Amino acid sequence: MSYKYIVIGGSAGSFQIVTGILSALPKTFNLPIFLCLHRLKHIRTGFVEALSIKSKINVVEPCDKEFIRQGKAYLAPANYHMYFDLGNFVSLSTEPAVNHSRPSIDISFASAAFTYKSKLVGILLSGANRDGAMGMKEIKENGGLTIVQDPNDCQVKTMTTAALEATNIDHVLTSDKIIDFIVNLNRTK
Amino acid sequence: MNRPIIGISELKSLILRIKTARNVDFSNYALSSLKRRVENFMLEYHLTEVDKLQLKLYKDDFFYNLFLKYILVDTTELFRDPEFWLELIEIVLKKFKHSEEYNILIPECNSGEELYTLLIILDRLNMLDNVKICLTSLSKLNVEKIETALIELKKMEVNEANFERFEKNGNIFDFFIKKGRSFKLKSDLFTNVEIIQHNFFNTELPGNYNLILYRNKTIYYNQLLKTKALKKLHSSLKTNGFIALGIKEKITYPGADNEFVTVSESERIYKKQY
Repeated sequence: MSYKYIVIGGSAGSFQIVTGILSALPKTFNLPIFLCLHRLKHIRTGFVEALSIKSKINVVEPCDKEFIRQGKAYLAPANYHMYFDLGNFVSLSTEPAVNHSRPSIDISFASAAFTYKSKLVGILLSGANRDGAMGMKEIKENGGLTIVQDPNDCQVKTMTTAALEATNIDHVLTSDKIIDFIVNLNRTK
Repeated sequence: MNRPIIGISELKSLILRIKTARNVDFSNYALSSLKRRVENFMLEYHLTEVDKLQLKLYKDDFFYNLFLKYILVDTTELFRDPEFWLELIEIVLKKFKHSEEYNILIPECNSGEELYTLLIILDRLNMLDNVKICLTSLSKLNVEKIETALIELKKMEVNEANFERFEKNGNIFDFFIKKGRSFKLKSDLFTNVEIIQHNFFNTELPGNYNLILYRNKTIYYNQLLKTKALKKLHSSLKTNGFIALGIKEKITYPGADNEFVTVSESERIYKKQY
């Protein structure tokens, strides 16, 4: 299967894994990665900079209608939901919080699932609420590949456990194996 | 009941039916977020098929108004992005301090938070006497809601936190009166405010505005409708008038550089050049 898009969701305990993923990716990594991470809504700056420190690929907080390019990571901006529209661009929204979260992982996952279908890999990491579980279900139902961080490897396992209850997840991996999996996607593409 | 999932062809059929029946055109809205709001509305009203939704929207005026209120997105916070409001005061509002009269438009507004925030600021600056503010909304129910000036108690926590970032040691409750489980903005702030229901895209606007607040509106449009909206607003501004967009929106259509100059890159405040 040729996967062309990766969407990653995470909350408490996921930051280090995301920086681990970004630092392991080669400069030539050529899939777009969407990051929907729970964050403080009033802190507009600093997060993308922190993620960029060790990343060899470009990490951006997209503006609305920003075109999606290969080999770039797109971080959902604070206090906005992030959607993906047909035509391959990002659409933002200020709709109410979902699961007390804006950005909501469920919204980004469901939108990516609908738009990219079987070309999508959805990855859910450590977190302290149930956001992302229904999104993983939609990725699965649309033919995408679903991966959750092994709850025993999570700093907080509420989020990944909820996803495992919501749908039949394809792979349960430790953070190291998740990093290997993503790096290998570039080779097998 | 699970959230119904609708396809793009079903969504487009629904949009066409609404346009025919109600003369309101959603065909150039951003489809991804519109699709989710329609699905959530169907879930809330226990509708499993788009056909049934279409029929109810066609036949039932009250149901249509509920739909419109649900589909049009609210601003959910007072003082959203406190940095924006501080910049607006410095770059824009203080210029009007000694004007005989200045006009502000808040078009396509679906909740009162932007208006209430502006009124609180103008009150703080002693600038309410010479302002004329016009707020418009497509939804009749939203107009009625905004006119009540009520904010639910559960929303006040985030509003209070935003206000503290805007004005250290300030107390947002100074501007409100408690009414049951809500807070009502003091009515004397509304003296020079007009709130009207109209279809922004089908209605002529006067060209006399000094400032237009249009934050987080174009994110619900595709590029075509975004350009149409911004060009319409450009012609509604006075020369050297200002327009504010959301912090993740940009004016990007061809020729826009000649029409607008950026006065705040971070807060997306633009000035009309000619």
